[in-house]
Amino acid sequence: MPIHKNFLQDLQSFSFKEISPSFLDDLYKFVILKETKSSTDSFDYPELATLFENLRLEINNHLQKLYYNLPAIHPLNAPFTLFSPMGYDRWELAYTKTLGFLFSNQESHKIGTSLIEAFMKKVLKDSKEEIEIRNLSVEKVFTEMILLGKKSESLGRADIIVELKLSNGEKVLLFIEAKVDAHEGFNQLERYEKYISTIDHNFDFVLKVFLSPKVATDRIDWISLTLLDLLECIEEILPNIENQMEKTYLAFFGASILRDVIGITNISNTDQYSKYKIFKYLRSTEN
Amino acid sequence: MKNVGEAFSFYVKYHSEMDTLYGDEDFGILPKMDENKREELENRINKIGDLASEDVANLLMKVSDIFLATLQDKAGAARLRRKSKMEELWSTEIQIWPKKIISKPKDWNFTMGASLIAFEGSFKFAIWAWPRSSSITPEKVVAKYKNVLPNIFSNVSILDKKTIGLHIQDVVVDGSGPFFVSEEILLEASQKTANVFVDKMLEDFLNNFQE
Repeated sequence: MPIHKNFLQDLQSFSFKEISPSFLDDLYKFVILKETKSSTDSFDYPELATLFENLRLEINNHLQKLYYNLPAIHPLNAPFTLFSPMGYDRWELAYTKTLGFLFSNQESHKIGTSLIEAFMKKVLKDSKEEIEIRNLSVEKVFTEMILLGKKSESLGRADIIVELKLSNGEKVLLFIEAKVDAHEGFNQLERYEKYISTIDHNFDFVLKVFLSPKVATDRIDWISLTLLDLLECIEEILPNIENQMEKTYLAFFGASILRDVIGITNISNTDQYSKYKIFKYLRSTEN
Repeated sequence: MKNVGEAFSFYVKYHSEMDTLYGDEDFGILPKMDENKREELENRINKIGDLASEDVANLLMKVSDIFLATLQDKAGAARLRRKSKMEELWSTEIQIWPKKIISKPKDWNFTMGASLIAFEGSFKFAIWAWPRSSSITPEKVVAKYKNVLPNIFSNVSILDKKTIGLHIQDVVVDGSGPFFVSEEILLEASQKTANVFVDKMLEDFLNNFQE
């Protein structure tokens, strides 16, 4: 608690007529020292602690309401995830293959180009390129494609490559490097860069996306998206998908991203940290 | 006796809030409030987070110095992380290779390290070894060494795939504070762990390596 500014006056008027002036001087110095120290070196921890405790109560109440209003088919309502029963919950290939499948409109599902369009909106959110993504068509989708350099040397594998054709005829090459483990970085991107720079192509735009659990901003020439961004794309298209089986499949895939990778679990049995994560996620999709 | 600081202790006690808000660009869970008040609060949270991370990195620098000194003459060893990375990860990592090899082998994956893992109101000070290139399995190591480890470890287990963890008992941060954690205790534990590691396990790990 801070020392009241009238403390010394009060003390003097209170009594202690016999008190020596030097004692008061010393006391004054002590007060000044204490105030100076508290303003630079220390914090009012109890005040911040109270604020955090109130925040906790407020958010938990709000979360209950948000959770109650979720649609029945929603990643958070899935009783289990798509990949965990198979033991593939952290297997990157499972995610890239599924994503490639869902991005393609030549597969057996009937979600068309809705997911790739929602994804492209995210990709182009901060882009200077003027690309009209409505009515785009997906020409080809490759997953885990082996990249070879000019001398046929191996440059690794590309997670997902999507060739798109826009309504005005322009062509886009979308190159996605996906990561499931947060600690992995941009190390191998050099090789992919080399591949992109050496291939002869007739694409009007080449977009490079780094998709990972957390925002990775080290490389400005790559567009960094998080798996939460991808999840928001799934959220966005879910209400418009009529076929219940496809809707359910997407919700289970979303559940894998949400729980197995991002670590957001069911709120009924989770710790406070996860509750904040769920709250942030639900509030971002609410807007 | 020096203590790990007040900011760190506060961080641990309010781990959920600090881990959610510290370094968060949009402070997305905070309720609507006056812009100035919000900015002041954000600054304060970030300052506490910075101070706590600095506390942890200072401690981990000393821990890695202990590891390096203990490994000296027994194996080649080098610190893999700078202090700024320790502040970010709350973890230090040392690469180890056989002494007969003069410089650090490129594809040799054998590290040991220490991490502070915060939970709500408590943290684990974990010291671990990760012999990724070794043919010896963590299960064998745990079975072999469980009984020779001193009492300072509450647990010897497999942390993650090939990582062998020697958990030092959880440190509980509770009460209304200020609450401090003794640096001396953590450094003493680090030294004891390093001694056990070098005396009992190192040779086994190095002999079972596959280049």
